[in-house]
Amino acid sequence: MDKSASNAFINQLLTYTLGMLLFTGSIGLGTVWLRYEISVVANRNQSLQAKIAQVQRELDDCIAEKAAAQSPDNLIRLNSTMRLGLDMPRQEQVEHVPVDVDQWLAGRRNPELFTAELQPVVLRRGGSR
Amino acid sequence: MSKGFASNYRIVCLAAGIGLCFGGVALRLVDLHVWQRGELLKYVEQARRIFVVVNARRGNILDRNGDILATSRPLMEVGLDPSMLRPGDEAKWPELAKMLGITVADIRAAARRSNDGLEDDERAAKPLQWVKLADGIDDTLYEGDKNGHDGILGLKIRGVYGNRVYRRYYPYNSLASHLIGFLGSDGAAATGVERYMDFFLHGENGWRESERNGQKKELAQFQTRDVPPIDGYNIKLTIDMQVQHMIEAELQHIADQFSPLKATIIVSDAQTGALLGLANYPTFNLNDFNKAPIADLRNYAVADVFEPGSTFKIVAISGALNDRLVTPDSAFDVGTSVVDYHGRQLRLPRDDHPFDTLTVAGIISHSSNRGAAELAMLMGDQRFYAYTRAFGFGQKTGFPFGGEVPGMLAAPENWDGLTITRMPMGQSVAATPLQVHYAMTVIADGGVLLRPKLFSEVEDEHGVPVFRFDEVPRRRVIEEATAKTMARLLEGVATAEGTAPQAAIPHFEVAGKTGTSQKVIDGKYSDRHHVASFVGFFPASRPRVVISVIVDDADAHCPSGVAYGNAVAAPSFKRLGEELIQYLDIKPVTDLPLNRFAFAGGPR
Repeated sequence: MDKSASNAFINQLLTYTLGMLLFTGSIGLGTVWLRYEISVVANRNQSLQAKIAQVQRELDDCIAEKAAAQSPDNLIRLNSTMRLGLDMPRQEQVEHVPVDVDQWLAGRRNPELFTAELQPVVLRRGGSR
Repeated sequence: MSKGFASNYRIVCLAAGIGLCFGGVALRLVDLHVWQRGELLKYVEQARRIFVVVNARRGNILDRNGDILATSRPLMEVGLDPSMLRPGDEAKWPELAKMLGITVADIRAAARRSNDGLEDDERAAKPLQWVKLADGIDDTLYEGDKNGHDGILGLKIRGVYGNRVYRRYYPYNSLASHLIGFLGSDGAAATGVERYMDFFLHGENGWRESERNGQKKELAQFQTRDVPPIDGYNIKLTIDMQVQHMIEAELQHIADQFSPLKATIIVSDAQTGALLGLANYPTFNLNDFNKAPIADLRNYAVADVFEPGSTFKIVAISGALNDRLVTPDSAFDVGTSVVDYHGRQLRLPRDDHPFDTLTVAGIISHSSNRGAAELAMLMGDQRFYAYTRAFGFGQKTGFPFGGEVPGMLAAPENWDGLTITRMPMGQSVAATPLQVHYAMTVIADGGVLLRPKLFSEVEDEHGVPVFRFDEVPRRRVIEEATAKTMARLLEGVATAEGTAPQAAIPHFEVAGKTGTSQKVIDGKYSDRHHVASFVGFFPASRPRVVISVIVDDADAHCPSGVAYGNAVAAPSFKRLGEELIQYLDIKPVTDLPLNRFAFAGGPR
């Protein structure tokens, strides 16, 4: 560019102005694009939040329904309609075991080993026959 | 300027015109942006700015095992906007009515509703936009399900839409209704745990400021402030849902058999005072509380008083033993009807079965009115009154809600001449069922009066405890040795020689006391209206549970015509006790011959 020419200033001004216009235009377009992206992300977040809230609601609903399904009245009704015949054991049917249950069961299986009167263990020296 | 298509004059005119137009636009802009700025901004704010409240979720009420007793459930309130309805949609109204469980006439009435009754300015300020048709509609019915069934929205009726609300839901209906309480129709806590623990349960609502577009949709990118909601805490009770169910089933059994006026059963842990269950008959469904008679909402266990009758004899006997005035073997002449007391001749109350002489053990096992009166007279007015207060009568137990009353207990200065002979047998004193229950707990727990414990923990939404409630002893009433002696003496009641063999559970050392108190009808003790009770615990040597069964006015359906404690309440105690033995895994105390036999090999 001929800077010594008489219209050099005008040419320079026009170039800078054009440059400035392009720069501010791209800044403006960038801002618009950013704002658009922000709104897209915000809306996506909002819909995700709504979805989470909906899942939470469904979960609450399931919890409430599960609790209702497990209510004793409902279970008794199901027992009756499905003819399951389930009943609480009566006191006469229960045998209370005030001892160690494993030992008690072993005693039933091997009475010769687990008698009420325990025999003392006698240790003998090896070799003396 | 070179000559062009127009003269200078015309260019000046055109420039002036354009200048004027620009000037006008500029002036209008200044008018809008400077002079009217405030007013217009207010309008824009009003039109675009929104303030959204985000509701916190109310906490759950749980039993001691974490089973949900009260929770919040999302439901829809469906209504219509009368101004948006189209005549063409009227053909769909019958189907809508069927879905909502209402009649077409209801929809028509709602559609006709307007704000005609309002003044002009009120009408302008508050246009009628939505009339509720039905509430409690679940999501599936509103939006349709995944199987292709159309919901209410599928009908595509313009102007019919719903609002989502959280409603309190009680999955077990009437279970523990007098304890849990409920929320009013406005969502405010009304009674019970719901009200007492509302501070922890309700949480803190959140909110956000944002803007909306012309279609009234929120513009998420313009959210300025967002405060998230804080959900309410969960409250864990000491109540056990299964025990509570057993109690309520037993109450129903009593109701079916005797049709009483009312009845109460209380079960608590003997060592901590923690309530495992408390129920009253009649009861009500928490999900339909507004349909129940107001009297059914009353928690009789704490809000009503009755004369405790013979169950009150534990006070006089414990006091006399604790003060070492007597031993279990001390004998009393109970054949005499008149005795001298501080120089006055007092007539003693009548015993159901006359005896000549009874030991202290006999007085309790045969429930002798005269014997109890003589023990109280041995202590004297002041000492007997002090023990009565110490056992918790005449004062509130500290139960946190339900309108607890302190009962009635007059000070000795206000007693008439016969009070010292009548109060030991449970007359001239009025107590709540809970007071009687905790008086018996004094003996079961080794002599200490406990405060009723209903709350176990406060938990956050993840189930992490943020606060734990401990048992609160109120005071020592009797020595531990006295309590043990009393427990042994009370065992005699549930034997063949005692007044309530019906309460005995073999191998489980049932200790308890029957009560049959006459009701005061028209100012006189009635022979046909009684309150029957049995209050006891087991096993006597290491108590696990305390059970109180109190049945009011069951006389009409009793074979003998009188509702005795041993006939009405004691069998319930036994049935309930047997169920609790299995559920709570209560071990028998005495060695069982059967087990020894089994241990040795068992039958072949």
